[in-house]
Amino acid sequence: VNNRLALRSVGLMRLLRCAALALVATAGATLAYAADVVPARAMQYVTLPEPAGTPMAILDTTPGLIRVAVPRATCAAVSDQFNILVVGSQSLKGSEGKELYVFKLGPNGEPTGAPEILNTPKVPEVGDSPNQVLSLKFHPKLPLLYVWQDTDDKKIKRADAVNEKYAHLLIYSVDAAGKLTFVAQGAVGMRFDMNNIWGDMAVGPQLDKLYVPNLRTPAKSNFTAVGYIGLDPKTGLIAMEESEEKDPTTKAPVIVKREKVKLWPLGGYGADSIPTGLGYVVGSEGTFTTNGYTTISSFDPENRQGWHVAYSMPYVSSSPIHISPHPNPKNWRFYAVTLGSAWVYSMPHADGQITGVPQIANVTGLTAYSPCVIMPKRNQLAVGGGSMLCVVGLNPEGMLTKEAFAVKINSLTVRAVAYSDRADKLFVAENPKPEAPAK
Amino acid sequence: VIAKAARLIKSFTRSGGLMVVAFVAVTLCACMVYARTRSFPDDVTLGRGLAPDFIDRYAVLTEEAPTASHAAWETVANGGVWASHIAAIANNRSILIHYDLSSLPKGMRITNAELVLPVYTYSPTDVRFFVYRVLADWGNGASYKYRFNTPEKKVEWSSPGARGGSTDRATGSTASYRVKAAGPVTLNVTSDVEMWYTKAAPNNGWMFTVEEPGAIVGFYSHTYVGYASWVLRVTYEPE
Repeated sequence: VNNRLALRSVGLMRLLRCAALALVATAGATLAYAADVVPARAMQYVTLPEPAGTPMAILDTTPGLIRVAVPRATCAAVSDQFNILVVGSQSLKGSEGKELYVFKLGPNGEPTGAPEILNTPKVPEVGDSPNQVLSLKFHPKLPLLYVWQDTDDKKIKRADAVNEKYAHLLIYSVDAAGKLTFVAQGAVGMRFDMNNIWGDMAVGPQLDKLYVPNLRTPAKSNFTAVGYIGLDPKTGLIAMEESEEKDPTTKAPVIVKREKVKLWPLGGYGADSIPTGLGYVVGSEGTFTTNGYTTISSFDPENRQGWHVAYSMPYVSSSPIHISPHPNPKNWRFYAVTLGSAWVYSMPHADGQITGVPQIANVTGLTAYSPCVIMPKRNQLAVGGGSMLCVVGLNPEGMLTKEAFAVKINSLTVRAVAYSDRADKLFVAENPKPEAPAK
Repeated sequence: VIAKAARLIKSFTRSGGLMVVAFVAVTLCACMVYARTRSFPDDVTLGRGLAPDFIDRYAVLTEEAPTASHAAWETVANGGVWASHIAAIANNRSILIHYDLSSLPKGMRITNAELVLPVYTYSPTDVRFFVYRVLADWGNGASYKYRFNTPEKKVEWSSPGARGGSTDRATGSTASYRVKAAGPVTLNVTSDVEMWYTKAAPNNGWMFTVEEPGAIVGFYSHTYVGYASWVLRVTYEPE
């Protein structure tokens, strides 16, 4: 009996072994054959995380993430040269300001103490209207910080007298200790729209142009426009140009100094409906790419025949698109996000002009509120969303990969995100106290 | 040895091995039959907007904007404002497009290949447009002047606008079509797809252009969601 049982168990084992081998062989053969039929294609469109329908993993934190407490944070920038993180904020109606939070960073990239809080200069005509910083950009060579501010009060109109005095552009010098000192201001007048909640800037590669947001064609036409304010490449301050005008009272010719502003209307694409200049990709020869109305627009100022090309972005609503160039200027790729949506794009450009076919990702659960922040050391990009920060993987060429996860952030709209390449730290500003969910 | 083999076969048979072999064979056959009866693009429609899984390179070469890749449709007369949602070809403007054919299974014979293009407008009636096989490699930064314009590679066409016969594009056209009405136009491109599939020639895509001065043919561009319907339909069978 024992022998029979032993034989049976040996037979059973053999059967199981054979079945296992057969299953492995079948699965292998099927996979190999299927792979031959449908090999992996160049991924141009993807729902993240894959496959579609997979819920986004929401983590408590991610390595290298540093949270700083700033109420109503709107934007952020890090200077690896001066080891400071500056966060822009929105002031409340009637408050004294507190639009800039300056954090000093230690050798490991961690903030070393409480931030220095600054009020941005404003004209009295603004009164107690809320004010906000929309963009912060460090000069690539000089110890300067450019700050773009705007009012947030619908009572103020572009044609109001306040616009003739309100300076959108503020320039701060940065000393060796990382202390900011206000030195100059500009971007005053009808060419600059009021009450926009989005905006961004870029310093041109020749250091003689500061590309700015929310430009408008003068007076009646009121078209949205894009363009730049001239900079003195040696000082980084606003370049002035002289023009001969008639004195309004004496009618005598007088020489007037004005800031050098060059703008291009967006034409039929987005007249007076959207914020413009939400990020610029600037080429070496003056060509540049920025956002348009449901498009990404490339400009070639030297070519009067084809100076504006509006590229219709697939899957874009009428929400504005924010553009972020790759931080490595030799990587001709840029990233875009449709604000208030889940769409993230990676696109090639040819020295500032859009080219190729976009790579498009629908990031599950993302409602984007910040530009894409690229982290080359990690091969990732981060986008602020609603109470979360989404992180998407990049391959070495800068294409989006299938990696995607989110981190919980204590802000209903996560707008202020920045990355330090030196310390490989990702900074995000969140509210000091837990925020109640929106009703 | 024979005795040993016989014993092995006997033990294999006794332990149900034959059943397993039969199961494997049936499964493999089913897989192969399923795979070989697929048609390309199978259940994937290359249209209704961007089909980026298949159209992986696209550019419009325009003499008026010689370094731009997407100056496809002039929206403001003489104003130099161009849009990408309509792509109009003329005698100084052409479309380049490249389909990724790597999902075609190996060991097949291409029996037919059709390209369906959505014509939006045309002028004059009966205007003829041509499809050329592109010979020179091209990619990011492709424009009227360049076939590549990247930090690593800046290469010009042998003749601006990729007009160089037998260098930039094939001397003879693959297909041509006289447009009499707006709507989808079907072109037979079997010879090119077959050539690319068998690797007789590298797949550098097609160029669409018009030779007649002053004439245009406008297409909904493949990025125009809701209207675009660019379809490449390839039929094949086992060799």
